[in-house]
Amino acid sequence: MNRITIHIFTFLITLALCPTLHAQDSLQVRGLIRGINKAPLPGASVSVEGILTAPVITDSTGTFLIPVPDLEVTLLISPMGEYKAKKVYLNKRDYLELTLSPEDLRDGQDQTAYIFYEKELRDFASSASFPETDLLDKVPESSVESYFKGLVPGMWTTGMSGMPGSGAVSFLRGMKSMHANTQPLYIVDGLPLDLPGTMESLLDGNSYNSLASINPSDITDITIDKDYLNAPIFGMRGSNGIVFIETMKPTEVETLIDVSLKTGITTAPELLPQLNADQYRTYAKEVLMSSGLPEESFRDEYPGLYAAPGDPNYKMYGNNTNWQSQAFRNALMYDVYFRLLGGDEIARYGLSAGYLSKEGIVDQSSFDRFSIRFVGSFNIFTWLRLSVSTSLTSNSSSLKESARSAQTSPILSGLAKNPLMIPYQFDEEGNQLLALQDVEELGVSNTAATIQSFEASNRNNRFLTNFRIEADINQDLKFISLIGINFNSLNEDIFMPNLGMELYYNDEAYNVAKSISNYFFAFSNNNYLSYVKVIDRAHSIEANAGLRINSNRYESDWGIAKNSHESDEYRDLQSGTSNLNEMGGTNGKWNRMALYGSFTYAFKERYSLNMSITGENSTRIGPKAENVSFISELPLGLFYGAGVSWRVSNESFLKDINWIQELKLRVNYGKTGNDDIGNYNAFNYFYLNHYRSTTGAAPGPMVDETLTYEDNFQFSTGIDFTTSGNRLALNFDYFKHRIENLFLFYTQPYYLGHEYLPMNSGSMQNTGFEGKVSGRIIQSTSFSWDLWLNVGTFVNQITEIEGGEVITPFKGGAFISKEGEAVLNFYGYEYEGVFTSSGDAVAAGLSNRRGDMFGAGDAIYKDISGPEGVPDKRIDDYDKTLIGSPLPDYFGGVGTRFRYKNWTLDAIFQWVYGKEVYNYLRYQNEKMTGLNNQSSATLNRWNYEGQQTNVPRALWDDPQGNSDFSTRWIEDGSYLKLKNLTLGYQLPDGFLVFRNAEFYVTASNLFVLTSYLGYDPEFAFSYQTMEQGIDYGMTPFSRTVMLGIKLGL
Amino acid sequence: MMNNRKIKRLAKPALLLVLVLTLVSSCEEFFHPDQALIIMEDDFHKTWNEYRSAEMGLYSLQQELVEQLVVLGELRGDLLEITDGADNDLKEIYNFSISSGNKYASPNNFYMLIAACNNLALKLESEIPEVLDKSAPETQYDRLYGEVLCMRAWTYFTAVKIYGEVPYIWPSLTSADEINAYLQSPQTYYDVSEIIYSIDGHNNDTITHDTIILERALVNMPMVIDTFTRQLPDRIKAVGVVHNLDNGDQTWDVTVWNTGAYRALMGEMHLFNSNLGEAYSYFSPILNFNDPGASGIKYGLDNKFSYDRWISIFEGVEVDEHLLTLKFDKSYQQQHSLQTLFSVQSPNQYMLKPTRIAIENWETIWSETDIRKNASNPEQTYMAQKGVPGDFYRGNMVSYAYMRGSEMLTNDEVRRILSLKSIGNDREVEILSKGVDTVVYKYSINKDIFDHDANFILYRASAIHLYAAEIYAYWLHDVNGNLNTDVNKSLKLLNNGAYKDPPDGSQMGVRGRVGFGSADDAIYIENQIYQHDPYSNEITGYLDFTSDLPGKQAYLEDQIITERARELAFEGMRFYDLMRISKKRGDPSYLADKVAAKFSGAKAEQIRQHLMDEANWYVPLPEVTNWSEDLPE
Repeated sequence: MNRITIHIFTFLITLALCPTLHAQDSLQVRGLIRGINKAPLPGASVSVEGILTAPVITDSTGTFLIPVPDLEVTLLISPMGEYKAKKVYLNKRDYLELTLSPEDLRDGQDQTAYIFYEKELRDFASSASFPETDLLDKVPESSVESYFKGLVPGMWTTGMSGMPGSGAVSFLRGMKSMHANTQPLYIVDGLPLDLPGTMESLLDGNSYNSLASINPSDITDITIDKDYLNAPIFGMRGSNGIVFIETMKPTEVETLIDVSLKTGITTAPELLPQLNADQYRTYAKEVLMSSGLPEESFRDEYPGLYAAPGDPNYKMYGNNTNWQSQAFRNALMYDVYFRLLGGDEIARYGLSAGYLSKEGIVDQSSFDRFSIRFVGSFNIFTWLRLSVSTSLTSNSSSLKESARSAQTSPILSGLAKNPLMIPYQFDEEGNQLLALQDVEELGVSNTAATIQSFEASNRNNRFLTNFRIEADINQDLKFISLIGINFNSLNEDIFMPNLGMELYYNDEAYNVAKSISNYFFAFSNNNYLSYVKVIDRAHSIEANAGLRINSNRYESDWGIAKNSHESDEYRDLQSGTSNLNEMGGTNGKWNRMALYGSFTYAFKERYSLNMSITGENSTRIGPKAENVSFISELPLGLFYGAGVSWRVSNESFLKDINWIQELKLRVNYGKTGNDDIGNYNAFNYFYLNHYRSTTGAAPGPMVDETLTYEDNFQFSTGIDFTTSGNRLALNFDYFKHRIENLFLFYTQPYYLGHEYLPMNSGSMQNTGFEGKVSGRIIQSTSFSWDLWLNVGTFVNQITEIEGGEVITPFKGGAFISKEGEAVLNFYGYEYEGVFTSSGDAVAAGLSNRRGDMFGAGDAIYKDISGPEGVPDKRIDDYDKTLIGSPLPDYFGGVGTRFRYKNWTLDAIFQWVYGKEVYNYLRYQNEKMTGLNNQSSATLNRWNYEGQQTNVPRALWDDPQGNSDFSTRWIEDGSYLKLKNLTLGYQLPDGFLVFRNAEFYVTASNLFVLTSYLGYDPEFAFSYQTMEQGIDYGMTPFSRTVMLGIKLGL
Repeated sequence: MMNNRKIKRLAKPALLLVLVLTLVSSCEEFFHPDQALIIMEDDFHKTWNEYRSAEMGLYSLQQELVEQLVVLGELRGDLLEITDGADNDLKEIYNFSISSGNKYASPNNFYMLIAACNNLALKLESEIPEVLDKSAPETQYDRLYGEVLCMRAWTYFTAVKIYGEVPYIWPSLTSADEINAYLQSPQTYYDVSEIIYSIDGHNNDTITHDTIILERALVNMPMVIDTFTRQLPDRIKAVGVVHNLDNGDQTWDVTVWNTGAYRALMGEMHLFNSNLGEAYSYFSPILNFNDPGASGIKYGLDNKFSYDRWISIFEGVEVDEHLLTLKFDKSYQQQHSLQTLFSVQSPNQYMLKPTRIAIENWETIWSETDIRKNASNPEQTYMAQKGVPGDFYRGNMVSYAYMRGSEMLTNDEVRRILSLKSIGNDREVEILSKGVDTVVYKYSINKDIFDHDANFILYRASAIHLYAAEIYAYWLHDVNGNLNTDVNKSLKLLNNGAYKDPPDGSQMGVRGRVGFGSADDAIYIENQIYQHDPYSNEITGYLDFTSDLPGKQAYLEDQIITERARELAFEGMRFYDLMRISKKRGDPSYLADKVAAKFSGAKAEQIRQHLMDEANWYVPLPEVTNWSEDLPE
């Protein structure tokens, strides 16, 4: 009340002192400002933009009266207390009624850093998402993109694995390539990060996560741009969507210190049901018998299977071990973060340091990150500013092999190891020792050895620095230069031990040491002129034009040493047996240069026209590319975007409908490219090989000199709708995306000497929509309830592909990409059950590809066709068909937030519906072809004539093909996950010495709703399009509970 | 004033911009960055060393073919069979029912090598045009060019033996554009005059003029032979880059194409065309090699590799025996998987093993046999001394071995088994050979189970001598103005060696080298040739060739082919030996019977019937539906 009095007093004095001004204004605007639940909001100051008059203050009924020069000005409303300020374009109204939004509710007038400027969210003419960052450091994710799961409409994000430090794979609006990169471009403080796949790993199932070197606690703003309106500015890297990440900004002139501490525990996952020792013995004997050899031979070869109580070896073989529990543990994590912001008007700075230590649920795995970041901004002259953002991150991980290699993966060995043994040896008296048990005749590595003796570690050091120089040339024109350096190194050391492990490299090696060192250096420079002008308060023009260059160098060197010493003591590359050493490496350089421009014209906040254009050269483009223009032999790709947006809510026919705060229609169309086609696939080259002791060179594959970037076109249209005070917000976008010149490895006729020709051929499209609705359901002074829901969908279709279809094999199966169908369809047999009896089998008369007849207990596959185009009773390639797609039908998220006084409860769910996945792990675990332990599902295996079952007989080596790639292994991979549930308590201001203090507890992956039979339906083997949807046995995600505290000084 | 300030403001950023632009635009490197681990074509073929690398590149590609050569050349013949552990691809080859996707059937590696040859030949022709000028002084480039042409000819010839007909890819096609232009160019017609030679290489040759459509283009064996037997002598100035100038290592001479290997290839091609005279003209310089500079007698079948030294042919690169060898070396990661296929020791997979027929070829050859022949009354011929069974210089523990687990049976043990067998003590034999596997040992000699780097011999002296013996068995040639046969020369080559002209006493002949060249164990051609029980050596009867020269010749040829089985077993030639003789005799049953003999029961008859059709001798090529539509626009 006191303040209001002062305001009114000031106002009166102003009025008294400026009678002339007042007298000139015959026009006055009256208005009513409301707050929550439509309560009138007194004490808000109201002024006119661009005019130096004293503000007026709303009275106790929330009304005000302000003189204006005309009715097309913009009013600035600055409320008291917990509301957001607001700008309102008067739009010829002389009475205004508006509701302000509470500070904890996102508003269209919030600003975010975009390509050239800070920009208001409501002014985005393209479809963009702005995930809120306030929860980002309260979840146990170690990198930012994992946080996007379920949060970003239209972005299908899947965590790669539960291995700490591993990232997530994101597909924005569909699958935009088959063999080139499909991941969004991440731009951190204006500097593009390297794309996934740049750094190599020797560890199967481990893909380097570029974003692990960005501490999520440093992140303040995230903008995800989905349209091709401004993406063309990024030319050949803009096709998969762009994620702009802004880290802390040096905005403070008083010194602020923030400290955050968190600690948590992740519990071991639920184990899969396996055969116990007795069941295993029965199974193993059964499968051995199926080999057709006499039983006596097995007694000699596998004495353990026949050990009975009382036998001397029963101590060793008479156990019942669940090996999976050797692989998993409960894992701890903690995270410390410190931030200092300060400075004065001339120089401001920010400094942060963070340390994260995270254990993985696979025993002995861990991820440690030490990161420091310095940001500074300096006003050197009134016209010249310099800012710098530099970060140094050092990650080190201890990893385990997590996928396809059975010898070293704790998960695969944990399932496959026979339950008769225990992990440790016995001495002569039969006492258990600490020494690990070696692999016995039944095979399979000792899971405890894969944990305790196997070592894989990597160290990743990243230096990312960015200078920005900004010079005012005049009031409207600026020159900006950005210089960025991205230096990244990744070293990995692996030791595969002897004791307790199977042999490696076709049994030649009993132990192996491997190392790889990756080095990446990129220099980027971006210079542009920026022109901003508002004419007559009605026409606003923004124009930018610039030149950017990007130069990249990559090198990796690796070495493999084998058989150093049987004791596993010497774990370095030097100790290996000399004629088994191997080394190699790769190397690449690629550069880009682009001239670009963008132009925006807006009329009275109602209509806006946007355009962007870029001409870009990439050294990867072939010398005869056809989709480029040549400027003195330099190929230049042209990318463009254009769109209009119409703010309907500012039209006269809507201006008086007060409950509509914002209604905007957008439409745009643009073109981008994707130059991830290999550094030298477009050029004739020789690769090195060897004859005798000398180096040879042989011609590389035939080259298509027209090889070029993929062309991406996207049409997008959307609507943004917000009710007054942001109580309800709705966004809906429709898109139609088309890709041409698809980058493919085309299978050549044999007589040309090389199997594959890298080339551009075919086209594909993605059509779909995404929508988000969010609302504040309940709002009162002490309690609020928010709810949001988003849904995205896309339909992918190959419209043209060389030869009509392309089959891409992977370990265990194949994908087919066929005209008229979506890319990535599993391609195999249709499994229809098991022949109950010999009679049934004979009646069916089916044979496998070699002509062997299927008998009782064998699989029934659907006989679809034959060489003559009709079913031929032979199950071979002609009977393979589309058996499932790992692409989801719908995906999205649901979230809610309750706030009661200082308490907050957040819940975020992610859901993915309608995708099929290949459960390779279950294939390994149920195929029943050898002595590996199997799932308890195999208890239902066919055993006797007439048995009705869906599981075929156990069959040594499976000559019949009962476990071939078929619908038997394809499962519904849909899921609904409670990703995060966070309960927070904010201490009242000024508690003790703290500026603010907050406690919270977060539970992650609390429950999963799925019918998937593996550990976890959420997995991604790599960032490659053609490796999605295959569960090779990645580390599952598991429940985490984390406690945290944030303190501000 | 205002202007000045503006200029000043702009100066620094502008300077920076200019600097960056200068760095970028003045730098060719920015737009065409060098790559380190590959060589861009524009930067290649600049120096001799780069040409030499390109040469080595060819051999590296040829190494990739070795496994296929052995599997296709032997598993389809009568000397090799599959074990229970054989994979499906091998089973298919063995059963002559090869499906698409069989890795041993794929012609990809042949064409990768052809593409590399085409590329290098074209480069030499355009960059070093002197290679085409026969009058220009001879240089290393000429020798390299010779190698490339030989390599290409060999590749086509080997491929056509396997596939029956092969696409003829002549130009160096290195881009999709070139491929399309080639495939869409007007189809040319290629006129071949084919001569079908009579069996003696001289009388009643049939000459036909066939107009063959080169439809991008499948060529058959006569066309391949016709093309390359003309091209090579026409274009080649010299063969074989002299590497030992640099490194003093003589073995380099025979691990790349050289004059001897060139002659062997030329002779072999003519022989497969039954052009005996031409074939002999190329073999003769090898048989009668006389290089005053060389130490010892090269290719001489002298005592260098006699008796227990015979095994050393397979232990290293032997310049006096090998004409062309692909050298493998594990320490340079040059390996093949022959050991994986043959060795019984884990982790090798023992998928292929010698047939009983192959082993009997060595075990049932007898030395020191004393037959008292009675030419006038053959019935009264009797055996005074049955002699000693077994070829232990080339057989057990060399070409093959008996393995009991990882233990090899010694020669003494095998001798004991053979001698028990010769007296019919089958029970004892069974006990002694219980739990024993037979393995191909040629590629495991002195090798660790993981080595996988035995050298692969493409041409060696005794193979050429046996070809020559094959020629002399029928060949009508000019002796002092008369057309004569000289079957004796054939026998000399086979048995004891004084075949040289003039005779050179150091020669031992193919059998003589290993103790089967003397009167009591040599192959003989007389009116009566006695037949023996293989294991007891008892005389079981005789063949009467009185006044039947063609009969004797055919008998001799059979013996030569069997001798090739002893001498050259598992070296990838057997199937083509059988093919060559069958074609020469115009009798598919020769091949069909031999191959069917390793099968039993109905299967044997089925295979025999299958192979009576010559079309089934060839491995099917992947289907190419339409040559010009198989490639992208």
